[in-house]
Amino acid sequence: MKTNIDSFIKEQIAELEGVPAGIERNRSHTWDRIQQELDQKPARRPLWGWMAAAGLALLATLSFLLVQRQEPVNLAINYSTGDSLVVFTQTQNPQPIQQEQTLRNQDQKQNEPFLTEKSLDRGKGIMPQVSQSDQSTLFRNLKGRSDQQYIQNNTVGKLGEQMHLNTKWESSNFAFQDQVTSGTTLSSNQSFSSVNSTVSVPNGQSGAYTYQWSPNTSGVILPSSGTYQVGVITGGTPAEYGDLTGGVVSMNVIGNGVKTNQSEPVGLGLTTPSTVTVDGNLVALFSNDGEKAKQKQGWEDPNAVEEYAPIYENSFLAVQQEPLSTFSIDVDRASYANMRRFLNSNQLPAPDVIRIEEMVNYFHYDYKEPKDQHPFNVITEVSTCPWQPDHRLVHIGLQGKKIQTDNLPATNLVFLIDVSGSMDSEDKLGLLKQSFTLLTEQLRKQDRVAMVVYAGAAGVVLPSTPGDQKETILNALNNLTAGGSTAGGAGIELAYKIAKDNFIPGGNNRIVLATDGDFNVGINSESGLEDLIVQKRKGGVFLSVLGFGMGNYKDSKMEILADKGNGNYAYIDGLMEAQKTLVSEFGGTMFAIAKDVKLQIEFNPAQVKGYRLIGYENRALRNEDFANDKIDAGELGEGHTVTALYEIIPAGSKEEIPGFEPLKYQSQQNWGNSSDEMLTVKLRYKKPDGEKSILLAHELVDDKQGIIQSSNNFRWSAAVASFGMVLRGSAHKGQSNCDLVLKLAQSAAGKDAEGYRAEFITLVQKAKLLMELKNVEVRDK
Amino acid sequence: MPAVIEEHLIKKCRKQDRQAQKALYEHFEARMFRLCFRYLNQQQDTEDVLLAGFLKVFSALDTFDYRGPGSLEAWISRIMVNESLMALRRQKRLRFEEGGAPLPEQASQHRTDGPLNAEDIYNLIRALPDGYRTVFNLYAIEGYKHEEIADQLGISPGTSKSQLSKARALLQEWLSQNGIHHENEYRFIHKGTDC
Repeated sequence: MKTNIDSFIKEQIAELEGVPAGIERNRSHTWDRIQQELDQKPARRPLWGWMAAAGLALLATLSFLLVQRQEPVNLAINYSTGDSLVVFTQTQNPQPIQQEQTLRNQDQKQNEPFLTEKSLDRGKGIMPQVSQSDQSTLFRNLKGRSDQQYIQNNTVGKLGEQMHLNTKWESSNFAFQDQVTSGTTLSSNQSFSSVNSTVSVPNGQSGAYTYQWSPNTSGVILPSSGTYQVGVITGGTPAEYGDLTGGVVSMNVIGNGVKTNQSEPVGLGLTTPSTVTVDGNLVALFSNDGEKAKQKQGWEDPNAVEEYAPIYENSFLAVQQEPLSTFSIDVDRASYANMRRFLNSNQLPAPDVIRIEEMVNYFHYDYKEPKDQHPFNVITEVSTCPWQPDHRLVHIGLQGKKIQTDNLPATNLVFLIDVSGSMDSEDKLGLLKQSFTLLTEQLRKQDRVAMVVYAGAAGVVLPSTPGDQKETILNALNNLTAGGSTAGGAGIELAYKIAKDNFIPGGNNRIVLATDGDFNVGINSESGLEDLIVQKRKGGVFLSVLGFGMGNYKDSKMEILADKGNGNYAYIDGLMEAQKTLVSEFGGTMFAIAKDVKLQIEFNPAQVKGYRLIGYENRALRNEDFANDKIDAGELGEGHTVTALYEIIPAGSKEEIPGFEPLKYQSQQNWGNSSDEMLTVKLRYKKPDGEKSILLAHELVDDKQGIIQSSNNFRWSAAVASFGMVLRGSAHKGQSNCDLVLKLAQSAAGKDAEGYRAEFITLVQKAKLLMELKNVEVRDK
Repeated sequence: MPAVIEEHLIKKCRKQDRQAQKALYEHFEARMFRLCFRYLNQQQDTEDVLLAGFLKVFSALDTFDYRGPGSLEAWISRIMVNESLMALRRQKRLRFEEGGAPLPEQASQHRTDGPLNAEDIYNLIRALPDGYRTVFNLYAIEGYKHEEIADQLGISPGTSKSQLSKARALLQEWLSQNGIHHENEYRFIHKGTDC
C-alpha cells in the first residue's frame, strides 16, 4: 500500500517540466549523437522482414486502389524552423446536402462587389490580363483620372498559391502604397485566379502598380468527399517570436467556387486537431503566416489585422554584473485603454497588447508635489513583493509640478485628423469628433488651433484660429467626413509646416494626431516617416497621438510615432477616456514640463543580489546614454505621475540568476560598501526648451517594512503590475493570479474620486471569469 | 499529442524519416531527461542513457503496438527506466546491503530558504543514496510492485521493501527539516494557479 509521502512526492514532481534547475544542457547535442548513430547503422531487416515488406508493399498497392481515400496527405516539412505539417485523416462520410446550399450562398456573396453596377459607373478601367511569368513592374499612366480604377488579374498559378497585388501610386508630392489584395489559385487543371482591387487615384496624379506571387499559403487536394480530422504538428523552434502555432492560422477548404469551411487548428506545439468537411474534388488551404498566427494567440477576431510589437520581457539581472539599470520614462497609457476594450468585449487581450508600465501609469498616484526648483518630485518606497514573498519590490514615483490653467503657456495646436475610409465608423470618426469637441472647450483666447485632414490627399480644413472662436472650430470639425485611402505622410508634413508658421516662442507648440494608425506613408517607408518626425521635433514642436477604433488598429506604429516625436500616446476607447485624457488631464497630455527624462538606478551589491525592471521593455537605454544629452527620452506632462517598479532579489538569497556565472575575483564581500542604502535613483531631465540636462539623485534604504505597512500607492501599483503579468502569462508572475490582484487592489483603492480604480477591479473580475471559461473550454477539448 | 499526430509520427519514424525521428525526440526528450536523471543523478550518464534509450526506441518501434494517447509515452518511459537500471548496474552503483548503506551527506544541505517547491522535492529524491533512490523511484513514482522490482534488480522482495522504507524515512526527515512535519501538512503546500 502506498503511503501519503509516496503520492505526495509523485504528485509534486509530476508537474515539473523542462530541464531540472541548475542543469545546463544542450539537447540538440544529444540529438546529433543519436543521428550519427542512426546514420552509421541503417535499419537492418532480417530476411523474413524483407519478405514481409514485399508482401506489405503488394497489400499497400491494393489498399491504395481500394482505400486510397484514407491515406493522410503529407506535405514536406522542416520540423526545426517552425514549419508545420498538416495531416488530414478521413473520419466520416459526407455531410448532408443541406450544408452545401448554405455554403454556396456564402461563396456567391464573396464575388459580388466586383460585379456591381455602381462600380462600373465610376470610371472603371480593367487592367490587361497578366500571367505569372510577368513579374516585372507594370506601369500604367493614370494621369488625370479623377475616379476609381478597377483592376482585374486573370492569372495562372500553382494550386493553392496566393497572389498579392500591391498597388502603388506615385505623384509629384508623395508616393504611397495602396492596399494589398490577394487571390488564391483553386484548381489544378485549369488554374485561374481572379484578384480584384479597388483603388482610388487622387485627382491629377499618376500611378503605377506592381503585383507579386507570394506562395505563403499551401494547398492540397483532398482525395475524396468526407469529413477529415485535421492535425497540425509544428516544428521545434517557433519561426517567429510569439508564434507557437508554426504559422498555421486557419484551415480553409475551398472548392471550385462551391463551398468554404473554416476551422482553426491553433494551439501550442502540437495542436489539437479539428475537423473539416469537404465535398468532391476540393482544395484545402492553410495559411502559413507567422504574423497572423501571433495575433491568433490572443483569441481575437480571426479577420482582424491589428498590429502589436512583440515584447521580450526584462529578466533578472545580477547586480555584480549589471549594477546599473537605465531607462526612459514612459507617460503613455494607451495599453491600458486597449486592454479594457478587449475585456469589455469579452476577450482576453493578446500578450503583446499589454505593456505593464502603461497600465501602471494609467493611474494617478497620491505623491507629494515638488517644493524645490525642480519641476518634479522623486518618491521611493520598498516592501515585500506580493507575488514572490522572498523578494522585495521597489516603487519609484515621479510627480510633475501642477500649474494653474491660467498660468499655462499659450498653445499652438494643429489637429491632424485621419479621415480615410478606414475611419468611417462611430467608434472612430464619431468618437474623434466628440473628443476634439471636448478638447476645444479647454482652449483659451491666447491659444490657436488649426486643422489638417488627410486621406487620399492632405489638406487644411481650418487655418490657425484663436481658441475663443469655438464656433468656427467646431463647424470645421463637424464637417469632416471619411473616405478614400490614407496619405499620412503628406498630412504630417503639412501639419508640421502649419505648426511652424504659427509657432509661439516659449509656448506649447503641438500636433495632435488622431488616427487608427492604418496609414500608408508617403515618405516611402515607415523609417522615412520616423526620420521626418525626428527631424521636425528639433524645431520645438511636440506630438500627441490619439488612437481610435479597432479591427485594423496599428498600435506598434503609433507608439513609435509618439516616441520619436517628443510626445505621448493615448488610446481613446470611449467618451470617458476622451474626458480623462483631454479634459481632466489636459495639462498632462498637452503641456510638457520636462523633456528627455531618464532614470538610472545604481544598486548596492551589499544589499541587492539581482533585480528586474517590470515593464519599460521598449524604453531601455544603454548606461552610457544616461549622460548623453543627444539621446532622446520621454516627456513629463504638467501634473503627470510616472511610476516604475523593480523586483529585487535580496543579497544573501540562494536563488540563482539565469545567465549569471559568479565572478572569480569579485566575491560578494569585497563588493559595494557597507552602506544600508539599497539603491540610488539618478535622474536627468531637460526643461521643455532646454538643451542641457539637469541631474537629480535620491537614495533608498530598505527599512524592511511589510506589505501591510506599505502605502496605497505601493499596493495599487503592485496590483496593476501583477495583473499585467497574469494577462501576459509572464514567466515572472510568481504567485500572481486574479485573486491576489483583487486582494491587493481592494486594499489600496483609496478615495478613487473618479472611479478608475473601481473600474480596474471590475476588469480584473471580468478577466478572472474569462480565464475560467478558457480553462473549461480547454478541458472540454 | 493528439492520436492522429502520434500515429503519423510513428509511421514516419518506422520508415527511418530523420525529421520525424527528430520531432519525436524533441517532443519527449525533456521529460525523459528528467526521468533518467531521477535515477542516475549525473548529467553525463543521463545524456548517455538518453542516447541509448532513443536508439532503442527507434529500432524497436516496429514492435510497438499503438493503443491510443499516452501509450507511446508509457512505452518510451519503460525503455528509459530499463536503460537507466542497466547503466546503474554497469557502473556497479546498485548495492543493497542490509542496514549498512552509507548515509548521504548532510541533509541540511538540502534545506532551502523559502517554502519547498516541486523542484526542491525532485532534488530530494536525487539526494537519496543510489539503492534507496532506485527502489523509491521504481515503487513510488513508476508504480512497480516489490516482486517486479526484486526481479529487475536481482534482490529479494524483502530487500526491496526495506530499501523503500529507509528511503521514505529519509525523505520524511528532510521534509520535516523544511517545515513539513506531518502528512496532513502536505496539502498546505502552496501551488500557484492561474485565477
